[in-house]
Amino acid sequence: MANVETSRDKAGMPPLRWRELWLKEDWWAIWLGLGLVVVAYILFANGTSIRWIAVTPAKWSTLPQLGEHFAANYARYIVQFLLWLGVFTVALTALGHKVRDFVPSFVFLYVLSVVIFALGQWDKANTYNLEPPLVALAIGLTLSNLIGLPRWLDAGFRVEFYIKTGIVLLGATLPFTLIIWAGPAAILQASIVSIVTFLVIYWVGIKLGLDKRLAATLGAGGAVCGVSAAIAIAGAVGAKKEDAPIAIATVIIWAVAMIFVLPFAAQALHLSAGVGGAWIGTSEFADAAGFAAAQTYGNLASHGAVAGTSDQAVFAYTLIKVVGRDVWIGIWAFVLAIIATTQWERGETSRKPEAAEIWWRFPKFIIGFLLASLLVTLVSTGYSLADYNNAVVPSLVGPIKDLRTWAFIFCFLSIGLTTRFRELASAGKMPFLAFSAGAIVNVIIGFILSAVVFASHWENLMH
Amino acid sequence: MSDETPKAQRQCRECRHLRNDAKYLEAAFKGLTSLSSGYGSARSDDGICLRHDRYPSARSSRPEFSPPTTQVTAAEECIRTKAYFVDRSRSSVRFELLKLFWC
Repeated sequence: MANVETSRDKAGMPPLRWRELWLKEDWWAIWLGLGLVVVAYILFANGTSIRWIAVTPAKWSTLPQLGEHFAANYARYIVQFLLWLGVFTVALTALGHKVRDFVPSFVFLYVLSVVIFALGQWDKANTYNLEPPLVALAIGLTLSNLIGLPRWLDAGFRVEFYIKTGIVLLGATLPFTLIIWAGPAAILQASIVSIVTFLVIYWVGIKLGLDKRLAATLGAGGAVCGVSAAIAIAGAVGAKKEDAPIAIATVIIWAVAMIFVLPFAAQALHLSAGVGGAWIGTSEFADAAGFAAAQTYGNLASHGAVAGTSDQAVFAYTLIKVVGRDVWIGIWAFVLAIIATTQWERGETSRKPEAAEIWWRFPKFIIGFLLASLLVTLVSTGYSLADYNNAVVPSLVGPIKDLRTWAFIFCFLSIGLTTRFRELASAGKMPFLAFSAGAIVNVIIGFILSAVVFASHWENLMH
Repeated sequence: MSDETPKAQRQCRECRHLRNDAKYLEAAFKGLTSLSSGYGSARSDDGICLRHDRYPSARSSRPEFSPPTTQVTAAEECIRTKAYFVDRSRSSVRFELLKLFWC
């Protein structure tokens, strides 16, 4: 870390207040995601569609077929690339990134994403388990850990921004009625798992001699939303500077391993797509990692290797993870801030936790996710099922889903490209053991709730 | 820092020891960008305290609070912050936007 002790102009910034609307990526994910949905709707309402720009590689079995597809559609890919480049450049520039670093980085990311997407469309891809999320992750990890990329390229590998944008777009493909119907069960299941996981990690951590703040930071990382929760709680409880990197390293190691393990474990256990998605939602820690696993499981379902549909896996995961777990991060932070200031550091600080912290830390992109869902659901209410399938899906929902898939591939690839295991802080044996205890309990309880207690609920999702 | 310092100005966010710029945190916390970000809402505006080697909320306050150099007015703070962003962006368009919506 650069020594900036004497650099006054880098010291603490004033409160964001309304400036959060353009200085936080959550809001930019809303502007971009909702903006695309609104444009898609306007075109749809005028009898046309964003279908042309939402191009994706077609299924292929021979390379000449693939070549023909690209020869026939190269203009669509170029325009789509320019669209992504334009909207991301505007957002990232507003956030303070440099255009000259982002543009070449995104060119690299997009080209590699096209290759991975095309590979996933190969008719033999599922024979060799070449699921795009896993391929993206594997290629990214190989490039960043074995070959090495220039550091400035990281400017375009914005994992969190891409996944948040993708989640807002996903909202447009998920009926709001489904959120209302399945949301309460998702919240109940997620809350049980979150509380138990947190308490296990915290209790084991304390027994192993960890500082309370580190134990709480690790606990939140395992119980709520991975790295984002870990740093949120680290700040709320005033953790030591080295606690956050320890939690980050531990979460990343577990989360990346789980991406590869969970889909195939669920398949081996013969879980349907909805049940598997719910289990992944309760067992994965970070949103982006979980989506990689859930999307993989959904792809297995679309190939017929798993009962159910691809959407069931992704929607069940989303309901558990985004609706059931992520929304509570502010409450976790508020409660732990109260405990920290009144119990752990009494007299050290005069800070008084404020209930407003629940809002400050609320993952705002979820608002965009819900609004997108509500908008498309309202648009769809005037259509019969047949008309919905014949008109709304191909012209509105389908293209948005394809754009979402692109955003997710950018994200999955970026996970691999930014995960450099050598650079992660040494987690230490005790923190790793404490977190692992919670992760194992998390997986077991998540399985019982998803595959036994709420099995029929997730099995019948969208029926 | 004398005891007469207004309480509102004793928050860590105003302290010269706190670093809560997203870019700084992403560089300081290796791996943060792999599955998260320094620009997310959940982080709020927490930062690293170089004095205590802690990661407190910007709304925290400590007896060891140390003002930047001298007491600054809200307007001075705003101008300084604006200059910080303009320096980073090197963009006149953004500067105009900042002027328009800020201060």
